[in-house]
Amino acid sequence: MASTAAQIHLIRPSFAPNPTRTTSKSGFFGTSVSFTTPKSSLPRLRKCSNRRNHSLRVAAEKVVGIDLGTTNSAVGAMEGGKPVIVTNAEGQRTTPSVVAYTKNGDRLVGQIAKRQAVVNPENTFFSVKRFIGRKMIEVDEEAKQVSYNVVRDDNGNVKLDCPAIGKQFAAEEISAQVLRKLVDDASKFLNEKVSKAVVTVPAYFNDSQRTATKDAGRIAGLEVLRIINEPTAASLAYGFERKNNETILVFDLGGGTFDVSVLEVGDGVFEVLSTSGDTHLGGDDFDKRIVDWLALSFKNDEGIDLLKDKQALQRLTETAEKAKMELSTLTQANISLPFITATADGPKHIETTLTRAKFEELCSDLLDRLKTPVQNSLRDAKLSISDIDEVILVGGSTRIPAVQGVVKSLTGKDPNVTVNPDEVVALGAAVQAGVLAGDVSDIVLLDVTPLSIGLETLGGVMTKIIPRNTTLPTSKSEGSGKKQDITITGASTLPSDEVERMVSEAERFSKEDKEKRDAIDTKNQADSVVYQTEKQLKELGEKVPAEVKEKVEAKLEELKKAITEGVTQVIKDTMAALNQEVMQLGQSLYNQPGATPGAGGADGPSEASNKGPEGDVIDADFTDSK
Amino acid sequence: MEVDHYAILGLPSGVQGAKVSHENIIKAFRLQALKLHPDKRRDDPDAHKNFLRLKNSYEILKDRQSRKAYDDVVRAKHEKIIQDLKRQEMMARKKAELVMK
Repeated sequence: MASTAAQIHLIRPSFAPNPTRTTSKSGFFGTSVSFTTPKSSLPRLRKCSNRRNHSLRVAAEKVVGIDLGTTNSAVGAMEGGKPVIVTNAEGQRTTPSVVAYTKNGDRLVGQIAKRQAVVNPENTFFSVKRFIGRKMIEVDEEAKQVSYNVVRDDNGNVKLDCPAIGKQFAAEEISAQVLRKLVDDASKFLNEKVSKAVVTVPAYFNDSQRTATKDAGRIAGLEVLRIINEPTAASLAYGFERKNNETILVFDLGGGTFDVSVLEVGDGVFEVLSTSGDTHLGGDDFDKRIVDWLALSFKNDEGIDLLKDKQALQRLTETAEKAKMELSTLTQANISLPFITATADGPKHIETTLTRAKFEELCSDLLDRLKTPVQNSLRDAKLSISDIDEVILVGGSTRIPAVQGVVKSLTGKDPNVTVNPDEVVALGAAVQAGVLAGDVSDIVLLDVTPLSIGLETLGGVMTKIIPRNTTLPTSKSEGSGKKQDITITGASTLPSDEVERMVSEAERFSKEDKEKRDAIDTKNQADSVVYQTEKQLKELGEKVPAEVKEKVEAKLEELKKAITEGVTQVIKDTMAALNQEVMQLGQSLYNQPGATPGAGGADGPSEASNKGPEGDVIDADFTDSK
Repeated sequence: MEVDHYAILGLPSGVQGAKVSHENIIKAFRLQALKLHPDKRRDDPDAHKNFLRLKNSYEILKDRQSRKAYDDVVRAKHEKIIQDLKRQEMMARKKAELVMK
């Protein structure tokens, strides 16, 4: 008998589900639930009420850390003084940064969106981080690499075309939808409302890209307390529990960007000495090399350009990513793409093998591009490689053996492998979130922005790396006379009125989404209640007093009618009414001499004695026996 | 008013500061940073300004070359003050001698 704990809400008089605890909804009257006797559920009811009481007392609002990645995102939070990864609704520790619209106009986010990408390539948006806060002119190459249409708006900014719903999205809006899911899932996991976050960006992001990322948070209804650099976040997670002085180099090769930062860590102070990178280099580029290789050999053999076929391109891209990952552990990967296209001669397939050596050859220039930022960051920090104590690898692409080889040859040391490259950024963001929430007191972060001195408005101390050996302090002024370069970037961010419009639109959509979900959940609950009640009536047969049975049956019919009519509130009300009668039924059985335990009675007796702290809401753990 | 970068880091000021080791400069900065960082002083409107001042002083003292230059300026000033004092003293003595005569 497998048993899982299910939480049940008894809410009177109306049957509205408690909005803050949606996780427990699925347990309500789930199929084949046979309730334990009220007696056995009593102590649990109490325990649960206490727990709830406790969680109500700790009212401090949680700030989460979000790694909004090009291909995958992750969320971290401080729990018990330590940063932990928050799993999503699907139980995964990372969420694909993918948003899709189906032909019916339904919105899908995360794994579910990624899974249908092949059949819906034009309405599936991935790698949007490559477009956020960018001018169209800056991302010509990237625009060619995606299966959806990237267009230029009147301001020269990037818009993503979505034919399924006939709309053009800003990259901010797509990122907002990813953020929304991450935060909604985190709220469920942490069991408290999350509305504030620290979000990470590549260190080499410019002001426009940072502002756009912040705007994405706003559109998602999220207050972004701070934008921090990904390699810096990684160093926070790495150094969180180390108190010794170290100079570290963070090598962060993500899905779409490459960052290198050199930091000095000690006594709780994390000081960024220099940072360098390449915003057009990441795991996607490695995939693209495989895609191009496959497409070229297919073109040579069959004379067909697969890159022009959106669906074929999407399949090639997925397969390429898989092959690349396999080549991190195996020396060769088999690539099989049946029915990739068709000609007059019939269907065409791709069946080939990619060796690790060939893959490395295809990517040799990409691997070369990893070197300069490392050298630049050392030079800017005025350090030589022998001054570096640890090299930390961040980002999934650092699993590529050839990438590790480059790091090793550049630094002459084995990289530190104690941190999980997919999670370390979110964990570090959680540490900074803890600092801002006041949960973490003995850490401060001193960061730099490499391209400008902007973003002071966020409250962060972000000073430009100061050119050394320049002017010296004079006795006249307090300042050192050091020059600060300010890079004025073009306005590739959204105008504020457009952001406002997107915020209200997102709010409206989110409300509609909730209503839709609520309607579906309510109907499912009602179906299940009907089934359950009919089953109970049948099982109990003659044991049920006639007048009680009559009442229950009357309410049952009402509920069935309400289900066919489909008005959510009516269903809820009728379900609540039926629920009351079922309780009466349980009570009448329980009061009978020789009542059958385990049958019928919901929890009549417990209801009077176990009123929860909120009067009419009781949380109960029941044993769900299958 | 002249800035005493050592004092801002909570170290002995002026010519005494020049004797502080490089390691202790770093340590002193970190100690101050943990106290003065705006994240730790959310309600202090001057936090940002004060922190940048600390950071600025640290940048100067952390770099060995700029620190030496700063120390030289401080020492020169210090020596000038001593010289001035000596001169004043001499003048005073001379004046006194003249009066005596």
